[in-house]
Amino acid sequence: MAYLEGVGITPSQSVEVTAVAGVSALPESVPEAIPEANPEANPDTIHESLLNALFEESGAATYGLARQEFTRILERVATVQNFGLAAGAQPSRQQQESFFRDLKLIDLVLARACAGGHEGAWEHFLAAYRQPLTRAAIAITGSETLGRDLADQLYAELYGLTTRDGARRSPLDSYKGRGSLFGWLRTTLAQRHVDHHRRTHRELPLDDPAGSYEPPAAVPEPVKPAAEMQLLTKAIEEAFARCHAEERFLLAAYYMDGRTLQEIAHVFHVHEATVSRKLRRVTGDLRKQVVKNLQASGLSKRAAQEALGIDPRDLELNLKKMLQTSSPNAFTEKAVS
Amino acid sequence: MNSTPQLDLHPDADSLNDFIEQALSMPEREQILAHLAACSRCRQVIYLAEKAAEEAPVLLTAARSTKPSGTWYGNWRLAWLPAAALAAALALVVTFYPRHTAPAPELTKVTPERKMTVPTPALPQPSEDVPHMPVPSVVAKSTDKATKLAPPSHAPSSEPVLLAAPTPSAEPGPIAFSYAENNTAQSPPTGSLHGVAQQQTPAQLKPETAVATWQQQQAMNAGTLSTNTYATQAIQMKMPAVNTPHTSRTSSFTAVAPRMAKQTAPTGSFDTSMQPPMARATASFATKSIHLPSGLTAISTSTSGHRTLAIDLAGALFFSDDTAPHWEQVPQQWTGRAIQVRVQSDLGGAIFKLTSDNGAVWMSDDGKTWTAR
Repeated sequence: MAYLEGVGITPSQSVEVTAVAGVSALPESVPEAIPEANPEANPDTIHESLLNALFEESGAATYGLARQEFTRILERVATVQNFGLAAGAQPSRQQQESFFRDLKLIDLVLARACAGGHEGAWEHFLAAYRQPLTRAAIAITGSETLGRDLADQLYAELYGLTTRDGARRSPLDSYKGRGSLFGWLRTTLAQRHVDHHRRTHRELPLDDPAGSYEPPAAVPEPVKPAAEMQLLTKAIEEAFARCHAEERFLLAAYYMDGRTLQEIAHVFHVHEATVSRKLRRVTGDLRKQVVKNLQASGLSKRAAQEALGIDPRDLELNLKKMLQTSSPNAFTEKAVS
Repeated sequence: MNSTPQLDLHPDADSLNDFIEQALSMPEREQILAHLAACSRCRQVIYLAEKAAEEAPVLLTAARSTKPSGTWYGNWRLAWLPAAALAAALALVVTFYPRHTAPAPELTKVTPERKMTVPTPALPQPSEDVPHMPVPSVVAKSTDKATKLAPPSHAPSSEPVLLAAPTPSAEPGPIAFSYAENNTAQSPPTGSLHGVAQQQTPAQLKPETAVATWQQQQAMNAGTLSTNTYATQAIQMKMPAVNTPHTSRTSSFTAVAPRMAKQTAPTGSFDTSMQPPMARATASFATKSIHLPSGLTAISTSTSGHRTLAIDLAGALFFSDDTAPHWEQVPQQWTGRAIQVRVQSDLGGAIFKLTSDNGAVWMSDDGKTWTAR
């Protein structure tokens, strides 16, 4: 528990979902958003035969879950996520059925049964996930000790040792069954570890020797006129604004995080050669777009080309801010099986 | 998620995991991607979760493999592998060892029989009671036959002659037969030397190398070499020629050769391989019972009827009209030194032929009067 308490994270804080998009709030962030159920997406309309099939498939009876309780779980999951559709979209019966059939019902029922304190469910959970989860935590932290500590803290948290308003709260209650339970556990571990690291790495030791102080580097004087700098900055911002979401993610992952092509390829489930081609195309298009924007601002093509030779350190650009602008196109490369 | 970036709001673990496992719909995925593009914290979460997904299964496998065995004999599991391999090797050795060693008893059988298969002793020994006239023809036939068939039944009578005779004038037949025997030792056991000898090719049986060796030795030492020494050298010289088509048999053959040498040496010959079989047989018979008046060893003899001619080491020619007991020297009527005398019986009557060391050939009807050819 020391691990999480040191971080300042309680089980329920980082896994509460917000409306529609399932965005959680960190402790210091905005207050929790209450999920709003879509009144049009009424799970009561689930066909009886489908519900029976789902109930049988889930094995809910094994953990003592009644059919009524099982139905309530499905209602909540479907309402919170709006059947996987965009906010405000009206799901058809077929979409609803498809959503329910795609759920990991066994994992969902197990998580809910564990959250409800079912002993049999916990026995099964521990037998199936304790060892893999410890190994995953070791892989995430890169340390046997830290990994075991992280996994133990998460177990305690999952068991519901934390109470809120007098009631035990388990993060397992927030699992919605679209991905695998083990994947959810891995991601939760990663979240805990990253949050812990982001908090603790700022705590610099105070016993630094005085001689180790290094003065900041001298700020180079701009060599280009201020007007040209402003034009270039504006052109770059506009070019970034036109990028798609996955393109911005690609640029951020490769150029800002320094991730390898292989790591990025794993995220997108594509081959690294695909990522490489995509990166080359994105940077080429970005450069062309910047030149085009500069020309639109009144520069000649030659002057626009020369403007690209400016030292980037002379520009006042917030790439992080520019990458936050969204665009509704998705990564369309075919995934590698 | 609002269109305005709010970095304090992050997708929950469920949404990020759904993104990783590609369980999100397109609009949801786009929202997560847009957030990930601007949020290094969530990108880091994704990278770590991916890393754990890749490494955890491997670690699990490793952990499973290092699980200690629950049984007391579990630690001996690896020891069974070399033990089983050793047992298998021993089984193979036990199975195949008798097959490899099977020819050895056959060799021991063959080796003593070599004494018995020497053709010269197989011939009827000239004695006072036996008429001498028919002997050459009989000897010639039986000797020639012995080269191929080697009847072992005559062996006991041959051994004293073989060991006692120091004369280098010997027959190539037994030597040739010794090749066959040597090869027989290496060939699959047939139970009969007779059959084995028939398997040998003429090239293998030809003792040309032995003849050349003997001629050289004879010219140098003039009979001073012991029979055993000669025979050993001759056979050793012959071995490569004999074994050339069967190089794989060389080692075994060499091991057998010394024993063979003692038994076959006296029957070695220096030039009879180039002569008709009858002449060879005649010479073989004569050299074993001739005691010339000069006291020298006869290097070439020839018999036709009751008349016998012999040349000693000095080149002197001796004539006997009573099949060897009494000799008289024939005056030299030829040039050079006589080195060979033979009988040619295919000219309408027996006629002797003498060859000198200068290559001249002289002919005689009675063995006493010689004319140049």
